[in-house]
Amino acid sequence: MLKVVQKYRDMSLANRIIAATAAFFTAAAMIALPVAAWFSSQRKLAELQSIRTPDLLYISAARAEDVKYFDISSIDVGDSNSTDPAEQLYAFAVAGQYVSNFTLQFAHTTNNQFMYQIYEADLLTHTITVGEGDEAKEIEMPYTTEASAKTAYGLLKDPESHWTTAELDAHFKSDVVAHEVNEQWSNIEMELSQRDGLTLGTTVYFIKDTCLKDKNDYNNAKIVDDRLIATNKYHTDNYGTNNVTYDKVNQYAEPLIWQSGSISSVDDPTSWGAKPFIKTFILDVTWDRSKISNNKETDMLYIAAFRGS
Amino acid sequence: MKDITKIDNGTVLTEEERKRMKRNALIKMGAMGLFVLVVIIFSSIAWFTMNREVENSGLQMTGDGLPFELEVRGTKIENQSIFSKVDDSYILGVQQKDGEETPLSYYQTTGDETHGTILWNKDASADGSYPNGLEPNAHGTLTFWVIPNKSGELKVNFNFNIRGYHAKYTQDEAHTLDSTIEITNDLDSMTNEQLAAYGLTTDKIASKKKALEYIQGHILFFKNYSNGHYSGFLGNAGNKIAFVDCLPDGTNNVTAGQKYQVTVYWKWANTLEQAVSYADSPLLDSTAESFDTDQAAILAYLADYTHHKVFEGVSDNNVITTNIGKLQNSDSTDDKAVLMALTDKYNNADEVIGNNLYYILIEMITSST
Repeated sequence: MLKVVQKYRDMSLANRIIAATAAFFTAAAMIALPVAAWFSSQRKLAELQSIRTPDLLYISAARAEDVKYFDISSIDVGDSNSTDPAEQLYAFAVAGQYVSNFTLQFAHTTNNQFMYQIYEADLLTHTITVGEGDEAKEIEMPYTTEASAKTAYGLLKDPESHWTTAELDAHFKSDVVAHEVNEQWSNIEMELSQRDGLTLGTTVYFIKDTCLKDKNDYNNAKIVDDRLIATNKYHTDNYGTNNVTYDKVNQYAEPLIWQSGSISSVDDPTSWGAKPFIKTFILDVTWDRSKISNNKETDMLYIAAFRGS
Repeated sequence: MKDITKIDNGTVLTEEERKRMKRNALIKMGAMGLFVLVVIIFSSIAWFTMNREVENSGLQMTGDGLPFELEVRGTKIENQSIFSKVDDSYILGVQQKDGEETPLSYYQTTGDETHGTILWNKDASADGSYPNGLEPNAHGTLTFWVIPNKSGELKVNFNFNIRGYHAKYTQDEAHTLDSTIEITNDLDSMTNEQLAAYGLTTDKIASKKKALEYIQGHILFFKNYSNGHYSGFLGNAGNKIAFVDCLPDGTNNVTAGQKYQVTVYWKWANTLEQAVSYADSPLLDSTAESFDTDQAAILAYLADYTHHKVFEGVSDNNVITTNIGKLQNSDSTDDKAVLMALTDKYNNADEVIGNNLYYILIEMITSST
């Protein structure tokens, strides 16, 4: 640097001017070239897309309470003298952020000879008018006592009162399940408008609607010795390929699997408006007392839901 | 010129000194004039390169050196109402007219400083419209026309890339878009106070950057699509395609003013199974679209974990190399084991995307190399 400055000072004035002008030209050229390049080197097109947030679906208790309330841990199958129906109903729900439709999957082992059916469920309600005149609104109120629910059920299914009291009881027990309303599950942070009007601690009643899965509906069932067990179809999915072949696994430990078609989340999607929702189902467990006793094995049941496309 | 014989303090100058002073003064004035001339020359050059010409009726003249312009067609622009909140350098292209001066839905780039980057118009019925947002299995078509302004060989490349954004919405019931911020390395140097304006905190930045890498890894670009099958995978070439490769017969001899269509397809691969399986694989959902002719290319793409981030929660990259390697060796007995090792990681990456990215910009940038 100093050498250059020294050289510059030694030059005559004319030379200094020439040197300075040359330097200026060079600098200017250097600036002009990239400037011209910036204006001309490329063209761009762009499309803006938003990203959808992942779905949030939960298997919960019947009205979006914590799934711990969906308790099917022990069934009293009764002994051969019992007059109770060999049937037990349980209510569960799929709840969460709105999806237009979803698929339900159900899988279970077959250690016990239970038969499973799955129904869509409806809350038993009656319409009342609130407010007066112009402000009158019709809202659906659930029945909260067994008596009122039973009466309503009777009117629905047996409008001409052909059934005896005992028959009505029996049908009611087979078609309707009671459910105690608890707090909404804390995991489900959404506001579920379908929980409006449900007081904590009250009992509400669900009635079977469409049957989605009948007793023998499975993707991989076969009958061996009069029992329904699973075929080889999903063996590798469940047990992998590490030399554990189908014939080495206890036949009752191979799960039976059922998958629904597309289930619509709400009855009227257009008026629902994509709000979070609850869709309740009834799991109906039945058994033959001659084939099962209270001294029984354990089965594992899996229920899963995923969004339809 | 006045004869200088005296200077102010009264001393008398010699003939020599007088001549020298005259010459110095002349030189100074000459140099000054020269500098002024140079400045004038360069500012006029700069003015010429700021080409503002926009009128046309077919043949587009560019005064800035690029041998082509681009055209997009259609009345629809995705998310047009909020586009400026994401990147306001993109504006509507210059609308074209037909021979009778009727406006067409054709929009072109030009060489001026604003119309070099334009919004992507597309046909109202075109693929790639997701009003609720993109999700795995989403797909789209990107079409544009190249208009050369010189006949002969046209050398230009089209580079596709994806930019990601975090968004802030209004707190009222309307929940409208307030502002966005691009996810770049610049976020790393911002403090919590600066990030708060965008509803962000420093601990969220790492996930946002990861989500952007994942969407860049999961969206695959292809040259061809027919009947549910994609081919001509561009992912191993950095999502770049040369103009000559878009021509139907591969002969690069264009006519000035003629419009050459380029179409590229993008697909957010739904699952790992879809990305790596042949069309007849029992692992593939029967309705899924497949990439089977490009399976080798896609496996190479997935194996290159340094450049393509596709899997979430991989603590040891050997898991990727080993398992993709098994698929590359067509060791079909191990397919299921491979998928079990990696499929959740692919899906978890999708979940990171969905939970962290609000918007993406799918950009096409031309280049000469």
